[in-house]
Amino acid sequence: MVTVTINGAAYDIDADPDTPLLWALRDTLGMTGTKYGCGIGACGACTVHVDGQATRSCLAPLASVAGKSITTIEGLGAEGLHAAQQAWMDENVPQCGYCQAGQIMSAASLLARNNRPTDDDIDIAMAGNLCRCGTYPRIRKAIHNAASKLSDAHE
Amino acid sequence: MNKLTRRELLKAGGTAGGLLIIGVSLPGCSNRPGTNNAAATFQPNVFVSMDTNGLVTITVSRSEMGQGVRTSLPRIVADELEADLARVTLKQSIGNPDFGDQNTDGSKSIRMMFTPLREAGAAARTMLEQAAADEWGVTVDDVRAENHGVMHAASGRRLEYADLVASAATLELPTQPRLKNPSDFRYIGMAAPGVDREAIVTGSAIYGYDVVVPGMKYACVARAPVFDARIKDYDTAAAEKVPGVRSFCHIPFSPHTRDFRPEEGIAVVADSSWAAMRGRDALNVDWDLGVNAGYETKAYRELLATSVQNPGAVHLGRGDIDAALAGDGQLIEAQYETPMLAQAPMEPPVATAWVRDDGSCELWAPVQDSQATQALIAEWLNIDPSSVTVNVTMLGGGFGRKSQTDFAVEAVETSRQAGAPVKLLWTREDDIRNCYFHSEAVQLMRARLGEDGMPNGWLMRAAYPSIDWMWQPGLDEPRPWEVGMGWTNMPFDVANVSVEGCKARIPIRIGWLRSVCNVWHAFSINSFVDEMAELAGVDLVAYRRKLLGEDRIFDAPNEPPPADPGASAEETGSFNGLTVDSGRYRRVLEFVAERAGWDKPLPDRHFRGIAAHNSFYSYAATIVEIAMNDDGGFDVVSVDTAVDCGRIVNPEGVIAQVEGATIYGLTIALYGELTASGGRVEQSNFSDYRIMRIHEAPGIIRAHLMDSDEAPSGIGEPPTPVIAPALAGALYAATGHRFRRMPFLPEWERIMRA
Repeated sequence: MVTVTINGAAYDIDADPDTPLLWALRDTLGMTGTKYGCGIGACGACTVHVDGQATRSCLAPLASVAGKSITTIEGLGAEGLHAAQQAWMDENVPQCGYCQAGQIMSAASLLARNNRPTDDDIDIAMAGNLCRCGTYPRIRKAIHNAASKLSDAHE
Repeated sequence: MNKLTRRELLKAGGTAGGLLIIGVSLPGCSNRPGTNNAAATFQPNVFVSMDTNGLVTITVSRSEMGQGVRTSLPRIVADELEADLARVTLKQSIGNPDFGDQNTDGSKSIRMMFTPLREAGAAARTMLEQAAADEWGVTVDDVRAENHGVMHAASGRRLEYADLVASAATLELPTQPRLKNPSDFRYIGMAAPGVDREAIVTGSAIYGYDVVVPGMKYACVARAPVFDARIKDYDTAAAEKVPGVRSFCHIPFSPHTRDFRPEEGIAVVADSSWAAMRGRDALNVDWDLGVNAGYETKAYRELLATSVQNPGAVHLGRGDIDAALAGDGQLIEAQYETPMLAQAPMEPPVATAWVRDDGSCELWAPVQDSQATQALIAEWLNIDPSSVTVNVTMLGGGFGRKSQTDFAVEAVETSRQAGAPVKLLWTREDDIRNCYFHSEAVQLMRARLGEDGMPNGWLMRAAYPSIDWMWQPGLDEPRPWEVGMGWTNMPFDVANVSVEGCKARIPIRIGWLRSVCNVWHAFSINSFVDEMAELAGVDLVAYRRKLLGEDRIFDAPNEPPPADPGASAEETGSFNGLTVDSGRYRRVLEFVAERAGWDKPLPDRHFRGIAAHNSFYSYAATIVEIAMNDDGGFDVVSVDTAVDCGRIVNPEGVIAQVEGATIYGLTIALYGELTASGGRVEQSNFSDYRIMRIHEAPGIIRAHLMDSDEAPSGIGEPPTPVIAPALAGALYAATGHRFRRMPFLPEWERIMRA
């Protein structure tokens, strides 16, 4: 049994502590927004926040996140859509959409620590997230869009 | 399979005229759909229905894999229906021959569905108009549908669709639905964002991997390390110790004709995905690798290179190639090589199946061809297709991989043996190593240039295995449809031409990858045109224009006549009778040259290349600009692509496809390469099968859309094959070295070291 907080709620997860967080989320808790893409941390589709840090959930055993606070795509926009989700809508980013939860979680993590990211900042923060449909130009635009949404909100 | 022609559909629906009205015949009143329906729902055909509140449901019959069919197809119906989109909901169809072709490949969803869906919407609208006219005692010509209601202009009266549903449902289907004048389109041609984007960005969209069926088990398969390897024995002792592992199912070997039947394997059934994967890894299988263990990429490439040295089957013979090549003038020859690839959609293959106690089967899976999947499962279980329900989920990418639904059969067989619903998961390693691969290819080009610098004779030879080999075990050379993806349908006006397909077989599974053989043929033909232009000392755009000659429209048949001689290519969905318009080719070329400023000087250390190609009835031309960087490398600065895909339903969707195809094309051109040794694919995941990442992608991708009233044609694939040759041209401009072998990055590193 491993206790974690997910999207603000506490869960006692009845799974082997070696189980990657990804599969506990998906199979045990039925939160399927977080995706499997490679299982080796090479594609970013499984990205969630662990205590605010973008983390590849396919490589994080449950034991490593015990007692921590996890945010998944389902909980990112606690009060309506997060600015990144709204920007993704505005820029019509998704094609197949499979990688986009991971992309948005990485972007949200970037925006949380840098509300005016440059293109270089975006490259560094997003290089671990693959998109086979090739939505990268729109992801870049959406992050800039979200950044202005967030800074407008703070001004 | 499942190539129902429209004619057959009409027969099946029992109606006359040029209208697609299918599969809704109710007992005793086949011409009065809806009258028996208790809810008085109006359903004039399988694509559209309306309830008594006026809420419209439009059924999407084709698979959504990111190309935007769930956005674009309903807008065609809604436009003709004069529906208010706020009062339209979508339904994803199951696999069902009533919908006609559902095979979502060949860039043909809009191309094939545009007219039938217009007719489906127009039929419903015409009946609603008739119902209003009857109500008012006027003729149908005096009324007009507008935004979910019908107007009578003379009296200013209006009835809402909700008020007309019940009476419309009692009317006969119109034999001639009145199609709108295109100038009255309200959705077709207007930019629309993706209908599923909110579900996607909130994580609630359901892909194949996300399906949950109560009581389901999870399974992962120990797979053949070599194509057609057979299981000698297996030991479950270690796997049984993995917590959560429940049972083991033997997926039997399937001989040729292989269809999309799975390879032999052992499915490990467990209580969770993780247990299934760990159990699979712990399973000990003793394989008889068989003859295909001799497959070596290096030797295979040499085999293909040898093959193109000999004449092949002539697919296009014009003039006298031997005399022309033997004549005066400069002889030029080049060989182009391309590697084995995997489609690698972000969502690996996956399927959830439930073979119930009553023998029926239900599937939930991200398949590109739901009907073929249904037929395959029915055959596998030896039951009637009507007992197989194929639910199509969202596809986390397809790119051709999910046209081959071996994974669905694996899930079905495992469910059958396990006696429970089973979600069968492919890992990324499974996907890379046990793919239906895009094959290696070697192409030889040879030409004799006249005094004007133009080719008098042009020989094109290709050696690659035919995908049809998967059904025709003895086949050992490209088929006409394959050579017809860029060579026999090439638009250039050259007097003496020989297009030849040379002997090749391959000891591995192969299949379709986005734009298929066009990847090879667009690369070789554009690269060779560049080489001829340089020899002639002529600008690359001017030389292409000269090669095109006078604008002309010609038929480039690349298949034997269809079984139904009356069926058009559009109806059968095949590539028969591919019409080529060299004027459209010329215009996209000139359009991109103008938009990207081909005649303008570039900044210091910037270089560019150009390519054009016709495929899937569409035309694309691309200019790629690169800049040398300070690390001895280069960056792709911008890519401009002009496309003519006929009338555009959703310009926003077309632009997105151009952007995506550009990056897919750049991945192929720069990085994509799988190799085999001892019959085993040596790569296994994104760590060694490189995919373009955001920092490597061009900052600027511009799509230039040609205005056109021509019939809609493909867009998912046509912008892909132009990328590699345009990039090769830019690399040549930068280095003076011809990049004739994909992928280019290892080649670049090699010449930079030299």
